[in-house]
Amino acid sequence: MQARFRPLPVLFVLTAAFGMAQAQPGASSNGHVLNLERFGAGVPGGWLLDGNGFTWEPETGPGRLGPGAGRLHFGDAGRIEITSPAHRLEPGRPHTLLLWFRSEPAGASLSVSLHDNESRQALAFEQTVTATPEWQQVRMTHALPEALKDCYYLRLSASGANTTLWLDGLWLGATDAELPANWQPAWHAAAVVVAPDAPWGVVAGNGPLRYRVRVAGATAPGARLQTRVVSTTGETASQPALPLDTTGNWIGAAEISGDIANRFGMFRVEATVVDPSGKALSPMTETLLARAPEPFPAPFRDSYFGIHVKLTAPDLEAMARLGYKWLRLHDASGITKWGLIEPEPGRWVWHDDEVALARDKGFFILGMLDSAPAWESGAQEEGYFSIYSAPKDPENWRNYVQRVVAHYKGAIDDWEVWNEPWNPMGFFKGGNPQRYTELLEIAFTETRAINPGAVLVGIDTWPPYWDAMTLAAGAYEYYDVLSFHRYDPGMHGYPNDPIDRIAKRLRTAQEKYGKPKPLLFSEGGPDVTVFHGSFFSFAEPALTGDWSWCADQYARMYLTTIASGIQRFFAYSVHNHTHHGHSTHMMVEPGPLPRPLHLTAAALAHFVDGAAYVERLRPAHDISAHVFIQPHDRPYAAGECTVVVLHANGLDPEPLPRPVPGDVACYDRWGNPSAPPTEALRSPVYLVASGDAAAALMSALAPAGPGAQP
Amino acid sequence: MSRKGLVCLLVCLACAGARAQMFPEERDGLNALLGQVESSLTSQTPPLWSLFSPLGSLAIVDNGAGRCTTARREELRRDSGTAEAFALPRGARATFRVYETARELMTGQAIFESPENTHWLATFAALPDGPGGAYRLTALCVFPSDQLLSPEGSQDAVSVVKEWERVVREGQMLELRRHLYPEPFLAIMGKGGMELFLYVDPERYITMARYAVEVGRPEISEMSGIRVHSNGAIAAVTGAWKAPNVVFGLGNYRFTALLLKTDGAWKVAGLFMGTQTQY
Repeated sequence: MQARFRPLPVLFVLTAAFGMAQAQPGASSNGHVLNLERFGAGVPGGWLLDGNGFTWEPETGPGRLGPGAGRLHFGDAGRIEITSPAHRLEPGRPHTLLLWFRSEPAGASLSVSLHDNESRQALAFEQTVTATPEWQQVRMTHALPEALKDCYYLRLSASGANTTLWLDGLWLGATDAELPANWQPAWHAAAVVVAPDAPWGVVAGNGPLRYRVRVAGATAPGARLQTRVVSTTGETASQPALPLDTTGNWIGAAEISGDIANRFGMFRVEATVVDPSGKALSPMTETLLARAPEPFPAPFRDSYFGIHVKLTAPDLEAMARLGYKWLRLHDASGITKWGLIEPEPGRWVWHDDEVALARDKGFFILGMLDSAPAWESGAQEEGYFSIYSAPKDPENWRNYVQRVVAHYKGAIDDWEVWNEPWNPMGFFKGGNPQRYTELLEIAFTETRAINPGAVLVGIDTWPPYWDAMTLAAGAYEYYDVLSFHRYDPGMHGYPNDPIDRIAKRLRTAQEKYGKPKPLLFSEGGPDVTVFHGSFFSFAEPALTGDWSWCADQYARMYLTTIASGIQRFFAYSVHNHTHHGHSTHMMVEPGPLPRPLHLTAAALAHFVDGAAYVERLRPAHDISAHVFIQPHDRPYAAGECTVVVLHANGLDPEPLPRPVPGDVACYDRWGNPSAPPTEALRSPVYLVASGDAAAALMSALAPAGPGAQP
Repeated sequence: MSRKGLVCLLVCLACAGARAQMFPEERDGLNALLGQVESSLTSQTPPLWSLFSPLGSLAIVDNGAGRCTTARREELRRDSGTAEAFALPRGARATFRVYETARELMTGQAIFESPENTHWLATFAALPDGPGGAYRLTALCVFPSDQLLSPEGSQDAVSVVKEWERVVREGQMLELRRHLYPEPFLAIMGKGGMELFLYVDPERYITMARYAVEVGRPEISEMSGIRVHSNGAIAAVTGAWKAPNVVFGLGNYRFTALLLKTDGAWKVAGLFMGTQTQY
């Protein structure tokens, strides 16, 4: 394989060595800051691939850099867009971008550009070229303009009609401003891409952690795939090497093995093609897998766990394995929004298959009675917000409610009236509390008439003025459940935390009009990507945050929902995956692949879904022990048991005043068996006991001493 | 501290305190906390860490000659050397105190005076999350106040804080990143309804602030009543800020900012802001 390389003059090799900047985190051994170099194996984990009308195969014949180029065939009108993960680069420093390409017949179009990760503006390396049958190289050296967070992503896009485009030899790195004309980096011979077998890489319970492997360009005898697995429990394990053939196009599969495979949590599979001496023949690439503890059986209407997700089979399957039981439609699927389902008067678009799919997977659905088509509202604007104006004619709204509630009766029996109506600049243009109350009354009255068992969710507040004014306008009579939204990356779960305060405020607000009705946290979460965390090794903390913190925060957000007596929490969202590092509310990696926060929520769901919340004990002032009674048989106990979710209220470890009794089963934040804790941590842990052991546990956690009063 | 300087500082603090309207139990709670702080700083009893909230903490002390020590609660707890850096001479007393209330988020300043007539300015923020609703510190910043810079000499610190006023109005929150102290950092934003947003990481604070401004960018962003105390290494800036926002309400805030000078530039290590008391 190496023999196919054009020998590089010594001068150029030295130039390369001196010209390249010090290797950056995640950078390849040849100074390339990204891990997609040769295109034959596809795009590695963390890269976003989009497009249509194309096929992608490895080129096994000789190419500009030997076998291993990517061969992309475009049909009648094919296009592809490849976006790198965001990386921190040094602004002001010269960087060079290289990319080999050709097409047969000529005519495929190829564009490259480097973007500011925050503004998404193209800042450098903008070029569009037309490919010919001869290999050409994109070759540019630019001093990088400043980006808002010094983080950048690379975008490649190509299109063509009935043509084949070869891509190879992508290289981006810091160099001298002036490079010899024929300077080339020390190209790797091969490429490897690993991808999980399971949807989103998520398995539940004892399912095998399988992944698929494709290696391109490895033609040297004795080459093998070297793999290492890293888990969120802090373990690492080398996996048995996989021998490769010499075809230059090896496809295989493997399963994480050894003790590490038995853990709950997330796993990063890091793969590199090496020669018999262990020398890397490819950049290291990676993928993510996850094992969630067995979820509570679905369907389960009283579940605490909701999510926003697209109604597609893989996404629903992954969410089901993570323990989510409820879906809220909204952006993830606007299939009940008036503005989308009656595009012209009298023409209705129904989505029965998607709804049936979700129900078949065991989910309950919170539908949205929401929005108005522009033909009705008179909205002039285009785009996302074009449907979010208040309807002009209440009778048209009544007709919409009648139609959609009747159509989905039995499949969707829970309806929320309008998304974020408190925002008159966005979701409820032309609206006000009085107008909302009118729509709510109609929705409530018609829904009751058509589907008497249905649950109507109303108010959907955030700022206190909204619930105060809608209630004052008479809204109290026209909902069964009062909803609110909250995005807050704080470490919740302590007494009187912000979500608990919201619950108290909303109960108090309702008392003026009658008995407080149940509360629903119908949308929210830790907010954007910096509060999500990522388990990719190349994740930039300034963009994706600290995954361990985020994993604790997310589970504690569900926990405080439960402790505050709120019915459930719908986290927003996983319905769209953009490039890695993009600041978005989407709690998902490209692929899609999971983030660790879903696995701590899955562990919480494993232990507490189906259980009744009893009380919060405070063994010390800064420790919370949330007590649940689980009446169902679960993998951790046969028959009724007590489950305690234990955590420090703040960020610091707090010593437990009394030891946890020895016959209490203890589990870490992922659901793995663990030693009894001696201190409460930021991370929630689970203590499970039955009978006498449960009584002993309660004694151990009882408030004691000065300063421990509840 | 010269008599004139001390008088100026007292008048300045008194003017700030004149606006504070507090319930007696709030004042009593803060007096109790300050009493414990005084005891802790001068006799290490109770230990300083125990006076901090675990929800988020920031401790800053200038040991003289520009040597600053910063710590969080956990460092004060685990590292006796760090805790000792906060010691004041035995017998030092909090001779003057002024409290500001931003709903349940309380801020304040006190002058500590030693028997040798040396002075320190202590600036603090506190939340009532202790046992029985007792106040606990979220921030404590102590520096010698015998050689304070004049307000005119501290305008570079004020100008950093005034950046908030501009970027919120212009919706350019990310421009604040360069003004934030990387670690330790603490920002607490209190809004109506007694709800708090608390950040211990500047990147998270700035990201959330950015989105808050995007959701409801204030048309008005005006600071007033700004007062600054600085010894050149540390600055404490207090004032009022009006920035109404659709999510956060009328936006009449009180704020206290703690700044550290690093490589010649002022950086905000602590920012405590809450809606002004309405009673």
